[in-house]
Amino acid sequence: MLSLYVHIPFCRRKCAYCDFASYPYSSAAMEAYVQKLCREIADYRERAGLQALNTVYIGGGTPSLVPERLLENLFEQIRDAFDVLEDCEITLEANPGTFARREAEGWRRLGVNRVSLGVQALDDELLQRIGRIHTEGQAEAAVRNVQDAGIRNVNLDLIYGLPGQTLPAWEDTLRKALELGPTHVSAYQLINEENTRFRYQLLEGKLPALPDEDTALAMEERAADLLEASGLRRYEVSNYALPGFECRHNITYWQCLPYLGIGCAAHSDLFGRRYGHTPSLSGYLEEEIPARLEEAYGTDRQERMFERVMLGFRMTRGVDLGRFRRDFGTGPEALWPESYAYFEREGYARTDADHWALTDAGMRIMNTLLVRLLSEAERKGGG
Amino acid sequence: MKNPESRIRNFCIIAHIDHGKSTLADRILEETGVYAKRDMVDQILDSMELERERGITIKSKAVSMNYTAKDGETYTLNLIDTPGHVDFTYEVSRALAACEGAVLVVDATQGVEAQTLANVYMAMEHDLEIIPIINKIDLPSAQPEAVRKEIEEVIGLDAGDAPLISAKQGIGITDVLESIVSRIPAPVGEPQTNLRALIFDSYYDNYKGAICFVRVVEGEIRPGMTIRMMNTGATFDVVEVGIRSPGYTPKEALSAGEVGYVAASIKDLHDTRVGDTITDAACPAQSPLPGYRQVTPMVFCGIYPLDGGDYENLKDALEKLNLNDASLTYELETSQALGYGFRCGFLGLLHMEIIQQRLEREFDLDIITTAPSVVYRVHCTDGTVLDVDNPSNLPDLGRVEYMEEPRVKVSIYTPQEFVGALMEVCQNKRGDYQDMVYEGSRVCLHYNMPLNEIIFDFFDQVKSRSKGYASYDYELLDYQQSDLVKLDFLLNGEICDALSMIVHRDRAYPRGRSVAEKLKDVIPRQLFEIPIQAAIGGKVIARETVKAMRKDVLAKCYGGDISRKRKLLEKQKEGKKRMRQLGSVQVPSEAFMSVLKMDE
Repeated sequence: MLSLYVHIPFCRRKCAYCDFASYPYSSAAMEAYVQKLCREIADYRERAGLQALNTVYIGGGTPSLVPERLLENLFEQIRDAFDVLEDCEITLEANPGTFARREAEGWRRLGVNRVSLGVQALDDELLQRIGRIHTEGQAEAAVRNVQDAGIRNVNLDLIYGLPGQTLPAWEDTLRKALELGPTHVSAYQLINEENTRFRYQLLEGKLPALPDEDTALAMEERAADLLEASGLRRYEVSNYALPGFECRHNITYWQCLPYLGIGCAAHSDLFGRRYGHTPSLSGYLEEEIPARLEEAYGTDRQERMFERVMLGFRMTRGVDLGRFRRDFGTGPEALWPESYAYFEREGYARTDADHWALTDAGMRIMNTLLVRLLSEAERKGGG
Repeated sequence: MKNPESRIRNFCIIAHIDHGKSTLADRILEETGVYAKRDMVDQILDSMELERERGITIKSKAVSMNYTAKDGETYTLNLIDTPGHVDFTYEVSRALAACEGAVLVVDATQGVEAQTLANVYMAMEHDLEIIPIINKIDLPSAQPEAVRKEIEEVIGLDAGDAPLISAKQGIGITDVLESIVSRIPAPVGEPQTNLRALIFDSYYDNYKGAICFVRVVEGEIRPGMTIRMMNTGATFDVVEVGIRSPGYTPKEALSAGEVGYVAASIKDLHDTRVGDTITDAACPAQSPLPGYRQVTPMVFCGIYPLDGGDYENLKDALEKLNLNDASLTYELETSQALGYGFRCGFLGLLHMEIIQQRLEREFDLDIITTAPSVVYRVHCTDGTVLDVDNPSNLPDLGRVEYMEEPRVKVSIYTPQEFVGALMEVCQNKRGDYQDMVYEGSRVCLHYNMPLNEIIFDFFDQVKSRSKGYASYDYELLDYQQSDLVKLDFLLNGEICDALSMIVHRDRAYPRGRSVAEKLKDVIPRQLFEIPIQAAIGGKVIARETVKAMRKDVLAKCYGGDISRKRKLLEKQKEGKKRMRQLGSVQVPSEAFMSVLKMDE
């Protein structure tokens, strides 16, 4: 069983803070690109045989820019090449301001049963400051259009820690978002990435300063309070859902289960063998098939054990120790005895019901804790 | 072929950093056939990687070349390279003493700059014939005529026939050579008298032992001769003499006016002191050449391996560096905070930085350097006198009768307009005004000042208050009684001995505050709150706090690109490795030095 990710690297306008692969939209480029995606999917089918799909995620970029006809081709190809399970979670990322109800109805007909909306903020001034193309009104209309089209499972992506954003402004966005009745909310703290226009604008003082660490922490706590009060439970560092609406596709990543990435800049991890496609659009279009299963590189056991924890810790339920032991024949208490005891002693992690999970205190400083694991492994010559 | 003295020219090149000194040296060596173009590594004289990077020459060397001038005669040109920083002022002065002339390179786009002035003035003190040349005339922004005028007005040199050249493009190099031949006087010195040769540089060769670079002032030196170092008294048998061109070229003898090397199976570089005079042990000269100074380290600091396991490697590296740098001293010391390391002595702060960087680059060591100190003289109640170069060795205050600190005589050279600002700097540094001498458009300010004020950001302040134009040098004057205290710093309640410093009582409060603030900025947030305190004898005079880290987690996980996230963590881990655990606190290795830098 497999998860499938398809990357659509086109946007009307690139957001200043974004460091994902995305290129200006044109209908000709889109046409050529989707054809290439179909060819890559067919190629994979030929090499790997028929596999069952548990989740599909069309991400971007802005997948809501793909015209209905091309989206039809893509889904046809997917259903052709894979055994798409009946309860398969099929997510499409959409940006407000790029579609109307008619398009959403089209998605539903194609089998999309989850839409993730890049709302980011419900605050026109902030939206403009960070280079989004939509307004608060358009975001609200977008949610209704999706819901009215019959797709009830809607995620809202929100960002906090934006330049000049205050705690009350963030609370306001959260309240308005909750009024729209989402099943799932992703509340990400803004990352000031290298090589973004945003970083430059901040350096040059062209944007108001980012909120400080304490304010960012207060924002996170407010988000947890307000969302949980509406029944959306935190199940990952930045993700909240009504029970049963947790994103199965993303959980695939956090559990280190196999996934296939199709398209420019997409990555695949197929049972410990990995490959990634070039982030260059022309590079992807020009090559016959940019990287294939046969070209995948193996990963070593040490790395995989660490990554299982690195990603597992992101989820409130933690790392599945039963599976860990089955796969690796050992457990974290034996691999990182000092850190394991230290986490337990300081109240950063606990083990129960055969899961090793971080506490709230531990989750906030996850990177520091993970670095501790790496350092301990290195001291022991583990790598 | 032996040139009579009249056909020898001994010269050096002086220039501001980046004005093209090394490039010009390359072209001259090329033009005279010392190097074929294809063999040239850029900028031959600056052979150490570090020198090239910093654009300064640390150790001087000499190269001999033959040049047939337009008058038909063949001349021997000896190019003597000079180091260019205040810490090496003495070495520069000895190299200049070996020359009769200097080529002054000025950038046609930049004009006369601060460092140029300091070096020109020193050359003038040595009565050298100075030939100004204007470089980089190929650049579109070159203003040779304006620069010509500037040289005349600011320095007071006749630049009317200064060659206009581009060392990079090889334009005008012959003009430079012709000027050297026609304007720089030939050396004068009696070859038929008792030998006196000036050592202006030395270095250690694995096969030949310590090698001296000398300028023979009078007499003659030849293999087989027993020589005596007139200041140290050591004697040696000369094995070989010759010139560098650029390889070793042995000769039968070096006689008055000539520049070359002397090898005499000298085991220890300390026997070949720069500035010493070589004479013939059998018939010695009456007196040594003037200007000899025994160079002693003035600045000390602790150098520790970041990883205690590197102690032996650090020791080996210091031994190797010391072979070629007699002014570096080191001896074992231990610190409660840092473990085993060395207390090292340097000529000055730049010398210290150079040694640090060489340890890191050439020997690939990760090191921690503690705050530099000078040597304090502690008079104890029982009548004993201790020299203390490490604050940790300061005896209990109850045992101290009084303390003395070294004072230096500082000469600051500056264009007139910065005099006021610089006097203010000196006053703030407990300087004692002596006098002020106007020399044309430049002013020379003399102050007596505690050396420990100089090692704390004096260089930065002088440069920033004079827009880079002022320069200074200093020499040890005396020891003076002073009200000194030991300033300690506590991290999370524990004294960190590696951060302790000795300061004047009046400076203790501001220094304590500023260092505590600095530490707060350089120590990253950790899982718990860290109080930083500055204290004198147990009394806390300043306090800062590094707040506990509250959030360190990546919001998103970059889709399926697992390795990207892992790499970020690897990077964070590497950063952590650059830290030293002091008690419960992780301190970045650069923290120890950064506390000395001035606030902007």
